[in-house]
Amino acid sequence: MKRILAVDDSASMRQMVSFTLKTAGFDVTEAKDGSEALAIAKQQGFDAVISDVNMPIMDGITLIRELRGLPDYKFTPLLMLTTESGMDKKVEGKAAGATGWIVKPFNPDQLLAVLKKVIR
Amino acid sequence: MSIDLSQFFEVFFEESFEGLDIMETELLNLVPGEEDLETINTIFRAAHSIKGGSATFGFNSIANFTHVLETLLDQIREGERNITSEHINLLLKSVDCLRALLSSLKVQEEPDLAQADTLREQFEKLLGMPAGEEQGEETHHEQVIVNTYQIDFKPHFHLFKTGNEPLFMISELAELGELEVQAFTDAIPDIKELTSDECFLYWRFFLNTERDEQAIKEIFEWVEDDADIKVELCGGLFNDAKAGSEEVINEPAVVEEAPKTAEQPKANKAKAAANAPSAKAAPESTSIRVGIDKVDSLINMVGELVIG
Repeated sequence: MKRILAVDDSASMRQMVSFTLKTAGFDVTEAKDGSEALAIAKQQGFDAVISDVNMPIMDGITLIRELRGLPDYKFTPLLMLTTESGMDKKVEGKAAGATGWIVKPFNPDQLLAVLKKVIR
Repeated sequence: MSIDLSQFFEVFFEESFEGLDIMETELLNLVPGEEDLETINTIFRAAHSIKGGSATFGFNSIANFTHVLETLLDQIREGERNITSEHINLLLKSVDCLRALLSSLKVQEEPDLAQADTLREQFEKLLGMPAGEEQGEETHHEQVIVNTYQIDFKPHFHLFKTGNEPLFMISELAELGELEVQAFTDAIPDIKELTSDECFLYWRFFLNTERDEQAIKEIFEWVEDDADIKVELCGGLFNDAKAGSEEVINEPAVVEEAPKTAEQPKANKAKAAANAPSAKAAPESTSIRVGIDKVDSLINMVGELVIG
């Protein structure tokens, strides 16, 4: 079973993402900010990481940059959740090593449609 | 996949009320000219989360209103604007207003939007935004990026009579990139009522493409008035990071339920599904996901049947 790390400071969004992914047959671990995610990612391996951008303590862009710098995450799909208007964030995310992005707001089908471009 | 989003509402309301409390506390402590970035960031994040959650869970009145707050806070955060006591007052009023809106929605009452509209106008004036106009979707696509669009295409029954052929449009869509097709069969009537010159099928596509929304809309240009068409950007990949994305989905595999928005008469559903050749495996389902080559050959067979 593929393992996914879902990172969001909003509990409802986290639950929605997590529930959707679990329903689709993924094994999901949740983290509530970049710092917690990084610590978990260092201990456990993941096949993909989906992270919100705006979060306290450590934001999503920093998380992606940190993860991409780790040997275990050199080739791992790292997706960020971002609002449609945030082109700047997309550019920033790309520079940090993001694989792609998912537009917020999204529904479960849209989340899976983007995710399955990088993981099955 | 059909997931009932209402199961997340309770948590959404809970965290939104918490967010509003945080916003209020931080706003009350703010002194214009002495604000620190982390405080502004905290307020911004609370507003941003409420906007994101409300948009995701379909509370559009909240999302639209929070959007203007967020825009102002973002400008302050980015140093494009200094915070004034007028801003603080307006934001505090908005916190009260949002609390009232959320309280109504929580008990499933229609929220009173009068105050929100008044406040929103004040924000828009302050931001120099034309009243009532949403800040534009980004339109520039200078970077070569692969976008994923969700396209809902529901031809009106009379579509064939306009000389249009959905199959050609689907083929054109497929030329734009990697296409996944879901065909919905629940509108197909009982065989006795089935007429060969009317279109009872409708589709949902997920298209991965480097082209923009305009290119997709052009395909459906001729049938704008003869179909319900919705194109929505749902994400994308940076082009040089497509590792593992080369697979093409063309095998019929997943049995899907019809989208919740499909308000079709239910009486004929089971029969309709049983009559649809491709739904034999699961007569209780009202939609299937198949490769376009299969749709292609199916439509060809129907065509031959009609000619015969």
